[in-house]
Amino acid sequence: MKKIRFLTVLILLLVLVLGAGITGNVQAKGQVEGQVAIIFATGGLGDKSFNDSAMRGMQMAKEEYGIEFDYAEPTAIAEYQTYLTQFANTRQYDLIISIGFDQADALTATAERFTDQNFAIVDMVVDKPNVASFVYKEQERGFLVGAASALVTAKTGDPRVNPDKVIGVIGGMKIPLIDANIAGFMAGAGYIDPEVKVLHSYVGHWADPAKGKELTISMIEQGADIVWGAAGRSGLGVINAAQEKNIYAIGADSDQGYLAPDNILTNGMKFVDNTVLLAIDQVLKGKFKGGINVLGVKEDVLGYSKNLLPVDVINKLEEIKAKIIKGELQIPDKIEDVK
Amino acid sequence: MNDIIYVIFGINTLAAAIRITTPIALAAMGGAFSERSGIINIGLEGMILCGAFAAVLGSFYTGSPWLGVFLSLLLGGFIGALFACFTIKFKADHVVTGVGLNILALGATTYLMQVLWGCKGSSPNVKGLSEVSIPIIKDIPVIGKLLGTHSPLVYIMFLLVFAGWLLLFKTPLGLRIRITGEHPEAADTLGINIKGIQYFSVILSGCLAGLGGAYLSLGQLNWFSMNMSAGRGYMALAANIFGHWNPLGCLAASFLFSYTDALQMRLQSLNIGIAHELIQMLPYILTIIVLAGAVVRSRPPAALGEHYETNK
Repeated sequence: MKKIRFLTVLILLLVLVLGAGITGNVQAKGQVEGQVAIIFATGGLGDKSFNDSAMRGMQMAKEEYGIEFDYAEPTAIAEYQTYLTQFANTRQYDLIISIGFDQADALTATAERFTDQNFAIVDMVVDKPNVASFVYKEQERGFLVGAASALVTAKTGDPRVNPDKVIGVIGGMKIPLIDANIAGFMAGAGYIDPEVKVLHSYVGHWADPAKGKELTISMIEQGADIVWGAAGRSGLGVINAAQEKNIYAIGADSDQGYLAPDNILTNGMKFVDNTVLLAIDQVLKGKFKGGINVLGVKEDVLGYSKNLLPVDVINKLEEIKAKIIKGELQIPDKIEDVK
Repeated sequence: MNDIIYVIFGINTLAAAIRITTPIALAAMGGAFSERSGIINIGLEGMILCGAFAAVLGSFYTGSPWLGVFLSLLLGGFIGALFACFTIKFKADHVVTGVGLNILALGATTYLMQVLWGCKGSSPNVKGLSEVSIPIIKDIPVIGKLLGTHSPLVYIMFLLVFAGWLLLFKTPLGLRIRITGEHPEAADTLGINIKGIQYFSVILSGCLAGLGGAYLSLGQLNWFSMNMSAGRGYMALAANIFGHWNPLGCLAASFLFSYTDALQMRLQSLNIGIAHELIQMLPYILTIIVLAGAVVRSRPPAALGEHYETNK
C-alpha cells in the first residue's frame, strides 16, 4: 500500500512539474514588436516539408519584423483545442496561426469563444469573422509536376527512366486537398501526353514511411519510373524507395532534393513560409481581415523547384506557369473530373 | 481482369508481404511468450517503437547497423523488464500498464530525438542493413524471387519463429512457461519459480518486439521517424490471438494480414472501380472478421491477466 501511495505522489509531482513547464513557457514573455503563436499539424516539426516550411516562415517573420513567437506541436487532433485555448487565454498574441486542415473544428470552437482574438488557418477554410483562412489551388502545383513527369518519362538514355510511359502519385489520405493535387497531376500529365498512364494510391497515414516505401515499390512493379509522394512523413518512404530502385521521386511542400540528390526530379512546392509571412504582415500592418484567401501559382506560394529537371522541361513548365497565371488553363480539382 | 489475377497471385505481392510481415511476426511472437506466461502485453507497440529508436541510435553513434540491432534487443529487453516489474512486482493492471508503456515510448523517443538531433519528426539518415542474397536459393526460378534477396533480419525472423516454437512447445522451459499461464498454482506446487518464468518471458517479448522495430528502422528504411510503428504492435496483438499464442501461428496470421495489405496497395493503383477507401480497409476488415471468428474457438491461457502470489 505504501508503495502505491509513493508512486501516486511521484506521478502527481511529475504532472505538476511538466504542467508548470508548459504554462511557464507561454507566460514568460514581455511585450515586443508583435507576438504570434503557431500550432503545427500533427505531422510535427521535422517532416522536412509542410510544418518545417511553416517554421521557416516564422523565423523569417522574426528576422524581418522582429516579432516573437511561441509554438506548439500537438501529436493528436484531440490536442488542438487545448493548445488553441491555452494560447488564446493569455490574450497577449496578435495572431494565432493554425497549420493544417484538421485544425478546423478546434479553431471554429475557439474562435467563437475568443471573438477578440485574431486567428489564421493555413490549408482550410474556417468561416468566422475573426479567422483569416489561407487555402491553395492545390491542383496548380499538381499540374506543374504532372506535366514535368510526363515530359521526363518519355525521355530516353536516362538510366532512371524506363520505356513505359507510367508515372504515379501517392497521397497520404483520401481528402479533398490531396485529391486536388492528384487531379492536377493527372491533368498535367494528360495535357502533355494523353498516353501517359498515371497510377494513384493512398497510404492512409501521414507518418508511416515504411508503408509509403512499399506503395512506391508496388508502383515501380507496375512500370512507374516517376512517383510523387504527397503524404507528409510517409512521403519520405517514397524518396527512399526511389533511391533504392533508382527511379525518380518528386518531393512535396519543401525542397527535399538534399535527401536524395540523384533521384529527386523536382518538388511540388507549397511555400507555407510565404503564406505565414503574408498572414503576419497583414496583422502587423493593421490590415487583418477575416475571410478566405485563395492562393496559387500567381501569388507565388505554389510552384515547382528545378532540381534535376532538364532545361527543355523547365522552359515548357515556365510556359505552363504563364498560362496558369493568365487563367488560360482550366485545371480540375476532383479526380472524377479529369478526362 | 488479368491485372487483378496477376496481383493476387503475383510473386511481387508475396515478396512484399514477407517484408511487411517481419516486424509484425516478431512482435506477435513476443506477445505469445508474454501471454503464455500469463502477462497480457498491450505494450508491444511501444516496444517496437523503442527498438526502432535504439537501432537508429546505435547505428548513428557506432556507424554499424548490427550494433544498432544489438542495442534494439537490449533496449527492447529493458522495456520488457520495466513492464515486467510493474505487472509482476507491483501487480499493476496489465492492460493499463501496457497502454501507459505505449504512451511513454512515444513521448520518450520523440523527446530524445529533440534532445539528440534537435528535430522531433525524424532522425538523420544512418547506415541501414543492406539486403543479402542467399546464393543457391536466389537462382531457383520462383522461390528465388520470393525468398532470394531480403534484409538479413527477414531470415533471422524465420529462424527465430521456428526456434521460438521449439522453445515453447518442445523444451521443459516452454512447458514451464505454458503451465505458468495456465495454472500458476499447479506450477507453484511443482516448485517452478513463477516470477522468474514470467520475467524471462516478458523480457524475451521485449527483445523480440524491439528486433521487429529494428527491422522497421534499419531493415526497411534507414532513419527513425516519430511514431513510425504506426499501429503494427496492435496488429501483432491481433495476430498473436489469431495465431493461438503459437509462434508459427503468429507468423501465419501476420502473413495473412501483411498479404492483404500488400494486395490492398496494388489494387489501389490498378484503379479497378472500387473506392480507394474500401480497398484500404481490407486488412482491417479481415482482422475484425478473423478475430471475431477465431476468438470463439481460441482459448487464451487460463490465468492470463491474473496476479499470482506464492503462499497466499
